[in-house]
Amino acid sequence: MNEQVYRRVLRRETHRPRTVAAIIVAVALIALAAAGAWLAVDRAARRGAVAGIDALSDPRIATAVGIVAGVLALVLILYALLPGRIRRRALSRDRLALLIDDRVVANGVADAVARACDVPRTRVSALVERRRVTVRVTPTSGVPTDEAMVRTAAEAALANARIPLAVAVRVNEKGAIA
Amino acid sequence: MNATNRVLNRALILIAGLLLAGVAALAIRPAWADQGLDAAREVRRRMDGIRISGLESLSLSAIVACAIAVLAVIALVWFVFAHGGGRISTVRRSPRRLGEVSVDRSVAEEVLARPLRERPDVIAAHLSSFRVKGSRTIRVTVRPRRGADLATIIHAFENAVAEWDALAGEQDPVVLHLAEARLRDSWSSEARVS
Amino acid sequence: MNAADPRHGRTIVTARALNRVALALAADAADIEARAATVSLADRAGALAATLTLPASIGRGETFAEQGERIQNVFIARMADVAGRRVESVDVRFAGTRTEKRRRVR
Repeated sequence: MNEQVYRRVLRRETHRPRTVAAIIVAVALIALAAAGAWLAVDRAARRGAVAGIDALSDPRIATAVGIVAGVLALVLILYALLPGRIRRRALSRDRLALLIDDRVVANGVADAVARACDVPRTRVSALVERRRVTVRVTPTSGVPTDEAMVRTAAEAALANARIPLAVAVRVNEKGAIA
Repeated sequence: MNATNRVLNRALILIAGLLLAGVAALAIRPAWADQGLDAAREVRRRMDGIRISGLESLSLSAIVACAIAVLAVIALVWFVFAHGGGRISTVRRSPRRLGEVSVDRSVAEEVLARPLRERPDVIAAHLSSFRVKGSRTIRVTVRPRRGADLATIIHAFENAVAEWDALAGEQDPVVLHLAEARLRDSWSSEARVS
Repeated sequence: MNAADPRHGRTIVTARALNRVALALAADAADIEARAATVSLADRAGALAATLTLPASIGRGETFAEQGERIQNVFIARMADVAGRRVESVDVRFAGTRTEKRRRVR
Protein backbone atom coordinates (compact mmCIF):
# COMPACT_ATOMS: atom_id res chain seq x y z
CA MET A 1 0.00 0.00 0.00
CA ASN A 2 1.31 3.37 -0.92
CA GLU A 3 2.06 5.01 2.40
CA GLN A 4 2.02 8.53 1.11
CA VAL A 5 -1.35 8.20 -0.55
CA TYR A 6 -2.87 6.77 2.61
CA ARG A 7 -1.44 9.49 4.75
CA ARG A 8 -2.92 12.12 2.42
CA VAL A 9 -6.27 10.39 2.33
CA LEU A 10 -6.47 9.97 6.07
CA ARG A 11 -5.45 13.54 6.61
CA ARG A 12 -8.15 14.65 4.22
CA GLU A 13 -10.78 12.62 6.01
CA THR A 14 -9.93 13.75 9.52
CA HIS A 15 -9.75 17.49 9.01
CA ARG A 16 -12.43 19.92 8.04
CA PRO A 17 -12.11 21.47 4.59
CA ARG A 18 -13.43 24.91 5.60
CA THR A 19 -15.37 25.14 2.36
CA VAL A 20 -18.43 27.00 3.56
CA ALA A 21 -16.50 29.76 5.26
CA ALA A 22 -14.20 30.10 2.28
CA ILE A 23 -17.12 30.51 -0.11
CA ILE A 24 -18.73 33.09 2.13
CA VAL A 25 -15.47 35.01 2.32
CA ALA A 26 -15.05 34.77 -1.44
CA VAL A 27 -18.51 36.17 -2.07
CA ALA A 28 -17.89 38.99 0.40
CA LEU A 29 -14.61 39.82 -1.30
CA ILE A 30 -16.28 39.76 -4.69
CA ALA A 31 -18.79 42.31 -3.44
CA LEU A 32 -15.97 44.38 -2.05
CA ALA A 33 -13.98 44.25 -5.27
CA ALA A 34 -17.03 45.15 -7.29
CA ALA A 35 -17.68 48.09 -5.00
CA GLY A 36 -14.07 49.10 -5.34
CA ALA A 37 -14.22 49.03 -9.12
CA TRP A 38 -17.39 51.06 -9.10
CA LEU A 39 -15.85 53.63 -6.79
CA ALA A 40 -12.75 53.85 -8.93
CA VAL A 41 -14.82 54.76 -11.94
CA ASP A 42 -17.73 56.73 -10.62
CA ARG A 43 -16.75 60.10 -9.26
CA ALA A 44 -20.07 60.82 -7.62
CA ALA A 45 -20.07 57.53 -5.80
CA ARG A 46 -16.59 58.28 -4.60
CA ARG A 47 -17.72 61.54 -3.08
CA GLY A 48 -20.47 59.71 -1.24
CA ALA A 49 -18.04 57.13 0.06
CA VAL A 50 -15.63 59.79 1.29
CA ALA A 51 -18.45 61.46 3.14
CA GLY A 52 -19.25 58.17 4.77
CA ILE A 53 -15.66 57.65 5.83
CA ASP A 54 -15.63 61.08 7.41
CA ALA A 55 -18.18 59.78 9.86
CA LEU A 56 -15.47 57.49 11.13
CA SER A 57 -13.47 60.40 12.36
CA ASP A 58 -15.69 60.33 15.42
CA PRO A 59 -13.45 58.39 17.80
CA ARG A 60 -16.31 56.50 19.37
CA ILE A 61 -17.57 55.16 16.09
CA ALA A 62 -14.05 54.43 14.96
CA THR A 63 -13.29 52.47 18.09
CA ALA A 64 -16.49 50.52 17.82
CA VAL A 65 -15.77 49.64 14.22
CA GLY A 66 -12.22 48.75 15.19
CA ILE A 67 -13.33 46.40 17.92
CA VAL A 68 -15.91 44.64 15.78
CA ALA A 69 -13.48 44.30 12.90
CA GLY A 70 -10.79 43.12 15.27
CA VAL A 71 -12.91 40.40 16.81
CA LEU A 72 -14.07 39.20 13.42
CA ALA A 73 -10.49 39.28 12.18
CA LEU A 74 -9.38 37.13 15.08
CA VAL A 75 -12.15 34.63 14.47
CA LEU A 76 -11.25 34.35 10.81
CA ILE A 77 -7.55 33.99 11.45
CA LEU A 78 -8.07 31.29 14.04
CA TYR A 79 -10.53 29.50 11.82
CA ALA A 80 -8.01 29.47 9.05
CA LEU A 81 -5.10 28.28 11.17
CA LEU A 82 -6.66 25.81 13.58
CA PRO A 83 -6.53 22.22 12.31
CA GLY A 84 -10.24 21.55 12.63
CA ARG A 85 -9.99 17.88 13.46
CA ILE A 86 -13.06 15.83 12.88
CA ARG A 87 -14.03 13.40 15.62
CA ARG A 88 -12.73 10.45 13.73
CA ARG A 89 -9.69 8.34 13.96
CA ALA A 90 -7.54 6.95 11.21
CA LEU A 91 -6.11 3.49 11.58
CA SER A 92 -4.26 1.41 9.10
CA ARG A 93 -4.75 -2.25 8.42
CA ASP A 94 -2.64 -4.47 6.22
CA ARG A 95 -4.55 -3.88 3.08
CA LEU A 96 -6.71 -0.87 3.68
CA ALA A 97 -7.05 2.31 5.65
CA LEU A 98 -9.69 2.52 8.29
CA LEU A 99 -11.58 5.53 9.52
CA ILE A 100 -13.82 5.23 12.53
CA ASP A 101 -16.04 7.97 13.90
CA ASP A 102 -15.48 8.48 17.60
CA ARG A 103 -19.19 8.07 18.18
CA VAL A 104 -19.07 4.57 16.73
CA VAL A 105 -16.21 3.64 19.04
CA ALA A 106 -17.99 5.14 22.03
CA ASN A 107 -21.19 3.26 21.31
CA GLY A 108 -19.33 0.03 20.77
CA VAL A 109 -17.48 0.33 24.06
CA ALA A 110 -20.54 1.39 26.05
CA ASP A 111 -22.62 -1.41 24.53
CA ALA A 112 -19.98 -3.98 25.40
CA VAL A 113 -19.67 -2.73 28.97
CA ALA A 114 -23.45 -2.70 29.49
CA ARG A 115 -23.67 -6.25 28.16
CA ALA A 116 -20.75 -7.66 30.11
CA CYS A 117 -21.50 -5.97 33.41
CA ASP A 118 -25.25 -6.44 33.21
CA VAL A 119 -25.93 -2.75 33.65
CA PRO A 120 -28.70 -1.03 31.67
CA ARG A 121 -27.23 0.69 28.62
CA THR A 122 -28.71 4.00 29.71
CA ARG A 123 -26.42 3.97 32.72
CA VAL A 124 -23.25 3.53 30.74
CA SER A 125 -21.63 6.27 28.75
CA ALA A 126 -18.33 6.48 26.96
CA LEU A 127 -16.43 9.58 25.97
CA VAL A 128 -13.79 9.14 23.31
CA GLU A 129 -10.86 11.54 23.22
CA ARG A 130 -7.64 11.54 21.26
CA ARG A 131 -5.90 8.79 23.14
CA ARG A 132 -8.35 7.67 25.74
CA VAL A 133 -11.89 6.57 26.23
CA THR A 134 -13.55 7.32 29.55
CA VAL A 135 -16.29 4.91 30.51
CA ARG A 136 -18.72 6.27 33.04
CA VAL A 137 -21.07 3.94 34.88
CA THR A 138 -23.98 4.87 37.14
CA PRO A 139 -24.21 1.96 39.56
CA THR A 140 -27.36 0.38 40.91
CA SER A 141 -27.85 1.40 44.52
CA GLY A 142 -26.74 -1.36 46.80
CA VAL A 143 -24.88 -3.22 44.07
CA PRO A 144 -21.15 -2.58 44.06
CA THR A 145 -19.73 -1.99 40.62
CA ASP A 146 -16.85 -4.14 39.63
CA GLU A 147 -14.50 -1.60 38.11
CA ALA A 148 -12.18 -4.29 36.90
CA MET A 149 -15.00 -5.93 34.99
CA VAL A 150 -15.92 -2.65 33.36
CA ARG A 151 -12.33 -2.08 32.34
CA THR A 152 -11.93 -5.59 31.00
CA ALA A 153 -15.10 -5.32 28.95
CA ALA A 154 -14.06 -1.98 27.50
CA GLU A 155 -10.55 -3.15 26.70
CA ALA A 156 -11.86 -6.33 25.12
CA ALA A 157 -14.18 -4.40 22.85
CA LEU A 158 -11.34 -2.18 21.76
CA ALA A 159 -8.95 -5.05 21.29
CA ASN A 160 -11.49 -6.92 19.21
CA ALA A 161 -11.56 -4.13 16.67
CA ARG A 162 -7.87 -3.41 17.23
CA ILE A 163 -8.46 0.18 18.21
CA PRO A 164 -5.59 1.53 20.28
CA LEU A 165 -7.10 3.57 23.06
CA ALA A 166 -6.41 3.74 26.77
CA VAL A 167 -9.35 3.06 29.07
CA ALA A 168 -10.34 5.12 32.07
CA VAL A 169 -13.23 4.03 34.26
CA ARG A 170 -15.34 6.34 36.37
CA VAL A 171 -18.09 5.12 38.61
CA ASN A 172 -20.62 7.76 39.57
CA GLU A 173 -20.90 8.34 43.26
CA LYS A 174 -24.62 8.62 43.10
CA GLY A 175 -26.32 5.45 42.03
CA ALA A 176 -29.74 4.74 40.64
CA ILE A 177 -32.24 2.98 42.85
CA ALA A 178 -33.67 0.76 40.14
CA MET B 1 -12.51 18.43 -2.66
CA ASN B 2 -8.85 18.04 -3.26
CA ALA B 3 -5.88 19.04 -1.20
CA THR B 4 -5.23 22.25 -3.12
CA ASN B 5 -8.77 23.41 -2.56
CA ARG B 6 -8.43 22.90 1.14
CA VAL B 7 -5.25 24.93 1.35
CA LEU B 8 -6.79 27.68 -0.77
CA ASN B 9 -9.86 27.72 1.46
CA ARG B 10 -7.80 28.36 4.51
CA ALA B 11 -5.56 30.83 2.73
CA LEU B 12 -8.53 32.88 1.62
CA ILE B 13 -10.02 32.93 5.08
CA LEU B 14 -6.65 33.97 6.47
CA ILE B 15 -6.31 36.80 3.96
CA ALA B 16 -9.77 38.04 4.83
CA GLY B 17 -8.86 37.90 8.51
CA LEU B 18 -5.67 39.86 7.93
CA LEU B 19 -7.48 42.46 5.87
CA LEU B 20 -10.01 42.90 8.63
CA ALA B 21 -7.24 43.12 11.15
CA GLY B 22 -5.81 45.90 9.04
CA VAL B 23 -9.13 47.70 9.05
CA ALA B 24 -9.38 47.28 12.80
CA ALA B 25 -5.91 48.66 13.30
CA LEU B 26 -6.66 51.66 11.10
CA ALA B 27 -9.90 52.37 12.89
CA ILE B 28 -8.34 52.29 16.30
CA ARG B 29 -5.15 54.17 15.49
CA PRO B 30 -6.08 56.90 13.08
CA ALA B 31 -2.51 58.15 13.12
CA TRP B 32 -1.46 55.19 11.01
CA ALA B 33 -4.49 55.76 8.87
CA ASP B 34 -3.51 59.33 8.19
CA GLN B 35 0.00 58.35 7.22
CA GLY B 36 -1.24 55.61 4.95
CA LEU B 37 -3.93 57.76 3.41
CA ASP B 38 -1.50 60.56 2.77
CA ALA B 39 0.81 58.23 0.93
CA ALA B 40 -2.10 56.77 -1.00
CA ARG B 41 -3.38 60.22 -1.89
CA GLU B 42 0.05 61.18 -3.14
CA VAL B 43 0.20 58.14 -5.38
CA ARG B 44 -3.27 58.81 -6.65
CA ARG B 45 -2.54 62.44 -7.32
CA ARG B 46 0.41 61.46 -9.46
CA MET B 47 -1.54 58.86 -11.32
CA ASP B 48 -4.54 61.13 -11.75
CA GLY B 49 -2.50 63.37 -13.95
CA ILE B 50 -1.71 60.58 -16.38
CA ARG B 51 -4.34 59.85 -18.94
CA ILE B 52 -4.36 57.15 -21.51
CA SER B 53 -5.28 58.33 -24.95
CA GLY B 54 -8.70 57.10 -25.89
CA LEU B 55 -9.82 56.79 -22.31
CA GLU B 56 -9.61 60.44 -21.39
CA SER B 57 -12.35 60.37 -18.81
CA LEU B 58 -10.58 57.90 -16.59
CA SER B 59 -7.38 58.51 -14.74
CA LEU B 60 -4.69 55.86 -14.67
CA SER B 61 -5.42 55.27 -11.03
CA ALA B 62 -9.01 54.50 -11.84
CA ILE B 63 -8.02 52.10 -14.58
CA VAL B 64 -5.50 50.31 -12.41
CA ALA B 65 -7.95 50.07 -9.56
CA CYS B 66 -10.58 48.73 -11.90
CA ALA B 67 -8.23 46.21 -13.42
CA ILE B 68 -7.20 44.92 -10.01
CA ALA B 69 -10.81 44.66 -8.96
CA VAL B 70 -11.79 42.79 -12.09
CA LEU B 71 -8.93 40.34 -11.74
CA ALA B 72 -9.86 39.80 -8.13
CA VAL B 73 -13.46 39.13 -9.06
CA ILE B 74 -12.47 36.65 -11.76
CA ALA B 75 -10.16 34.81 -9.39
CA LEU B 76 -12.77 34.70 -6.65
CA VAL B 77 -15.55 33.54 -8.94
CA TRP B 78 -13.31 30.78 -10.26
CA PHE B 79 -12.57 29.89 -6.65
CA VAL B 80 -16.25 29.56 -5.81
CA PHE B 81 -16.96 27.32 -8.78
CA ALA B 82 -13.79 25.29 -8.51
CA HIS B 83 -15.22 23.48 -5.52
CA GLY B 84 -17.32 20.42 -5.91
CA GLY B 85 -14.95 18.61 -8.17
CA GLY B 86 -13.00 15.57 -7.20
CA ARG B 87 -15.68 12.95 -7.38
CA ILE B 88 -15.09 10.77 -10.32
CA SER B 89 -17.19 8.06 -11.81
CA THR B 90 -14.33 6.02 -13.22
CA VAL B 91 -12.44 4.10 -10.59
CA ARG B 92 -9.85 2.46 -12.76
CA ARG B 93 -8.25 3.22 -16.07
CA SER B 94 -5.83 1.00 -17.91
CA PRO B 95 -4.54 1.99 -21.30
CA ARG B 96 -4.01 -1.12 -23.40
CA ARG B 97 -2.57 -1.68 -26.81
CA LEU B 98 -5.93 -1.60 -28.57
CA GLY B 99 -7.65 1.00 -26.45
CA GLU B 100 -8.45 1.93 -22.89
CA VAL B 101 -10.09 -0.43 -20.45
CA SER B 102 -11.88 1.52 -17.76
CA VAL B 103 -14.05 0.53 -14.84
CA ASP B 104 -17.05 2.53 -13.71
CA ARG B 105 -17.85 3.00 -10.06
CA SER B 106 -20.95 0.89 -10.45
CA VAL B 107 -18.72 -2.15 -10.60
CA ALA B 108 -16.97 -1.13 -7.40
CA GLU B 109 -20.40 -0.59 -5.85
CA GLU B 110 -21.37 -4.16 -6.61
CA VAL B 111 -18.16 -5.71 -5.40
CA LEU B 112 -17.29 -3.49 -2.45
CA ALA B 113 -20.39 -1.75 -1.19
CA ARG B 114 -23.27 -4.13 -1.86
CA PRO B 115 -21.99 -7.04 0.25
CA LEU B 116 -21.85 -4.69 3.22
CA ARG B 117 -25.13 -2.98 2.49
CA GLU B 118 -26.93 -6.32 2.54
CA ARG B 119 -25.64 -7.24 5.96
CA PRO B 120 -28.20 -7.10 8.78
CA ASP B 121 -25.74 -5.32 11.02
CA VAL B 122 -25.27 -2.46 8.57
CA ILE B 123 -27.70 0.40 8.10
CA ALA B 124 -26.22 1.87 4.96
CA ALA B 125 -23.15 1.62 2.80
CA HIS B 126 -22.14 3.88 0.00
CA LEU B 127 -19.12 4.24 -2.19
CA SER B 128 -17.29 7.24 -3.52
CA SER B 129 -13.95 7.65 -5.16
CA PHE B 130 -11.57 10.53 -5.44
CA ARG B 131 -8.09 11.33 -6.55
CA VAL B 132 -5.42 11.88 -3.98
CA LYS B 133 -1.85 12.51 -5.00
CA GLY B 134 -2.45 11.17 -8.46
CA SER B 135 -4.00 7.90 -7.30
CA ARG B 136 -7.63 7.03 -7.39
CA THR B 137 -8.86 6.07 -3.97
CA ILE B 138 -12.04 4.19 -3.26
CA ARG B 139 -13.86 4.95 -0.06
CA VAL B 140 -16.75 2.94 1.28
CA THR B 141 -18.71 4.59 4.07
CA VAL B 142 -20.56 2.13 6.25
CA ARG B 143 -23.02 2.98 9.01
CA PRO B 144 -23.12 0.02 11.37
CA ARG B 145 -26.16 -0.67 13.49
CA ARG B 146 -25.96 -0.17 17.21
CA GLY B 147 -24.49 -3.22 18.78
CA ALA B 148 -22.81 -4.40 15.60
CA ASP B 149 -19.48 -6.09 15.95
CA LEU B 150 -17.02 -3.82 14.16
CA ALA B 151 -14.40 -6.51 13.69
CA THR B 152 -16.86 -8.65 11.73
CA ILE B 153 -17.78 -5.81 9.43
CA ILE B 154 -14.14 -4.95 8.86
CA HIS B 155 -13.38 -8.56 8.07
CA ALA B 156 -16.27 -8.80 5.64
CA PHE B 157 -15.00 -5.72 3.88
CA GLU B 158 -11.49 -7.14 3.71
CA ASN B 159 -12.94 -10.13 1.89
CA ALA B 160 -14.71 -7.88 -0.58
CA VAL B 161 -11.48 -5.98 -1.14
CA ALA B 162 -9.67 -9.25 -1.83
CA GLU B 163 -12.22 -9.95 -4.55
CA TRP B 164 -11.70 -6.49 -5.98
CA ASP B 165 -7.94 -6.96 -5.92
CA ALA B 166 -8.32 -10.17 -7.92
CA LEU B 167 -10.36 -8.28 -10.51
CA ALA B 168 -8.11 -5.28 -10.62
CA GLY B 169 -4.91 -7.25 -10.77
CA GLU B 170 -3.38 -4.78 -8.34
CA GLN B 171 -4.08 -3.16 -5.00
CA ASP B 172 -5.88 0.14 -5.34
CA PRO B 173 -5.98 2.40 -2.30
CA VAL B 174 -9.13 1.63 -0.37
CA VAL B 175 -10.59 3.32 2.69
CA LEU B 176 -13.30 1.92 4.93
CA HIS B 177 -15.12 4.52 6.95
CA LEU B 178 -17.22 3.33 9.86
CA ALA B 179 -19.53 6.25 10.44
CA GLU B 180 -22.17 7.01 12.98
CA ALA B 181 -25.78 6.66 11.93
CA ARG B 182 -27.29 9.87 10.65
CA LEU B 183 -30.79 11.16 11.24
CA ARG B 184 -31.47 10.57 7.57
CA ASP B 185 -31.04 6.85 8.00
CA SER B 186 -34.13 6.49 10.14
CA TRP B 187 -36.17 7.64 7.19
CA SER B 188 -34.87 4.90 4.99
CA SER B 189 -37.75 2.71 3.99
CA GLU B 190 -35.88 -0.53 3.90
CA ALA B 191 -37.46 -3.12 6.10
CA ARG B 192 -34.90 -5.06 8.04
CA VAL B 193 -35.25 -8.26 9.89
CA SER B 194 -32.33 -8.46 12.26
CA MET C 1 -17.38 -3.06 -50.79
CA ASN C 2 -15.99 -1.38 -53.91
CA ALA C 3 -16.16 -1.63 -57.67
CA ALA C 4 -13.51 -4.32 -57.75
CA ASP C 5 -15.65 -6.49 -55.52
CA PRO C 6 -16.37 -9.77 -57.32
CA ARG C 7 -19.75 -10.04 -55.63
CA HIS C 8 -22.65 -8.47 -57.46
CA GLY C 9 -24.69 -5.55 -56.30
CA ARG C 10 -23.83 -2.84 -53.80
CA THR C 11 -24.35 -2.92 -50.09
CA ILE C 12 -24.79 0.37 -48.39
CA VAL C 13 -24.51 0.17 -44.68
CA THR C 14 -25.99 3.10 -42.81
CA ALA C 15 -24.34 4.34 -39.67
CA ARG C 16 -27.32 3.09 -37.68
CA ALA C 17 -27.12 -0.34 -39.16
CA LEU C 18 -23.41 -0.50 -38.53
CA ASN C 19 -24.06 0.47 -34.95
CA ARG C 20 -26.57 -2.34 -34.60
CA VAL C 21 -24.12 -4.80 -36.02
CA ALA C 22 -21.37 -3.54 -33.76
CA LEU C 23 -23.70 -3.85 -30.78
CA ALA C 24 -24.53 -7.45 -31.59
CA LEU C 25 -20.88 -8.27 -32.09
CA ALA C 26 -19.86 -6.57 -28.86
CA ALA C 27 -22.49 -8.42 -26.91
CA ASP C 28 -21.36 -11.63 -28.48
CA ALA C 29 -17.74 -10.89 -27.69
CA ALA C 30 -18.63 -10.31 -24.07
CA ASP C 31 -21.03 -13.23 -23.94
CA ILE C 32 -23.96 -11.09 -22.87
CA GLU C 33 -27.30 -10.02 -24.27
CA ALA C 34 -27.32 -7.07 -26.64
CA ARG C 35 -29.52 -4.97 -24.40
CA ALA C 36 -26.85 -5.04 -21.70
CA ALA C 37 -24.30 -3.38 -23.94
CA THR C 38 -23.81 0.08 -25.41
CA VAL C 39 -21.69 0.80 -28.42
CA SER C 40 -20.63 4.06 -29.91
CA LEU C 41 -18.60 4.34 -33.08
CA ALA C 42 -16.58 7.32 -34.09
CA ASP C 43 -14.24 8.32 -36.82
CA ARG C 44 -10.76 9.04 -35.67
CA ALA C 45 -8.68 10.41 -38.52
CA GLY C 46 -10.22 8.06 -41.01
CA ALA C 47 -10.09 5.03 -38.76
CA LEU C 48 -12.97 3.52 -36.84
CA ALA C 49 -12.83 3.85 -33.07
CA ALA C 50 -15.33 2.08 -30.87
CA THR C 51 -16.35 2.56 -27.28
CA LEU C 52 -18.09 -0.38 -25.68
CA THR C 53 -19.87 -0.17 -22.36
CA LEU C 54 -20.61 -3.54 -20.81
CA PRO C 55 -21.06 -5.22 -17.46
CA ALA C 56 -17.94 -6.70 -15.93
CA SER C 57 -17.82 -10.41 -15.46
CA ILE C 58 -17.31 -11.39 -11.83
CA GLY C 59 -16.16 -14.72 -10.59
CA ARG C 60 -14.50 -15.86 -13.73
CA GLY C 61 -10.97 -15.36 -12.48
CA GLU C 62 -10.20 -12.79 -15.13
CA THR C 63 -9.00 -9.32 -14.28
CA PHE C 64 -10.69 -6.28 -15.77
CA ALA C 65 -7.73 -5.77 -18.08
CA GLU C 66 -7.81 -9.38 -19.25
CA GLN C 67 -11.53 -9.29 -19.95
CA GLY C 68 -11.13 -5.98 -21.69
CA GLU C 69 -8.36 -7.18 -23.94
CA ARG C 70 -10.16 -10.36 -24.81
CA ILE C 71 -13.26 -8.38 -25.78
CA GLN C 72 -11.19 -5.90 -27.75
CA ASN C 73 -9.57 -8.67 -29.78
CA VAL C 74 -12.79 -10.54 -30.49
CA PHE C 75 -14.65 -7.36 -31.38
CA ILE C 76 -12.03 -6.19 -33.84
CA ALA C 77 -11.85 -9.62 -35.47
CA ARG C 78 -15.63 -9.93 -35.80
CA MET C 79 -16.06 -6.42 -37.12
CA ALA C 80 -13.55 -7.22 -39.81
CA ASP C 81 -15.18 -10.56 -40.68
CA VAL C 82 -18.83 -9.61 -40.48
CA ALA C 83 -18.93 -5.92 -41.27
CA GLY C 84 -15.78 -5.65 -43.28
CA ARG C 85 -14.64 -2.69 -41.21
CA ARG C 86 -11.29 -2.14 -39.69
CA VAL C 87 -11.51 -0.95 -36.11
CA GLU C 88 -8.38 0.77 -34.89
CA SER C 89 -9.18 1.21 -31.24
CA VAL C 90 -11.71 -0.17 -28.84
CA ASP C 91 -12.26 1.50 -25.49
CA VAL C 92 -13.95 -0.90 -23.14
CA ARG C 93 -15.80 0.54 -20.18
CA PHE C 94 -17.11 -1.79 -17.53
CA ALA C 95 -20.31 -0.63 -15.85
CA GLY C 96 -22.37 -2.93 -13.70
CA THR C 97 -21.57 -6.56 -13.14
CA ARG C 98 -22.75 -9.98 -14.03
CA THR C 99 -21.90 -13.21 -12.36
CA GLU C 100 -20.62 -15.92 -14.57
CA LYS C 101 -23.21 -18.45 -15.66
CA ARG C 102 -22.95 -20.92 -18.41
CA ARG C 103 -25.72 -19.84 -20.73
CA ARG C 104 -25.04 -22.06 -23.63
CA VAL C 105 -23.85 -25.59 -24.07
CA ARG C 106 -21.04 -25.43 -26.54
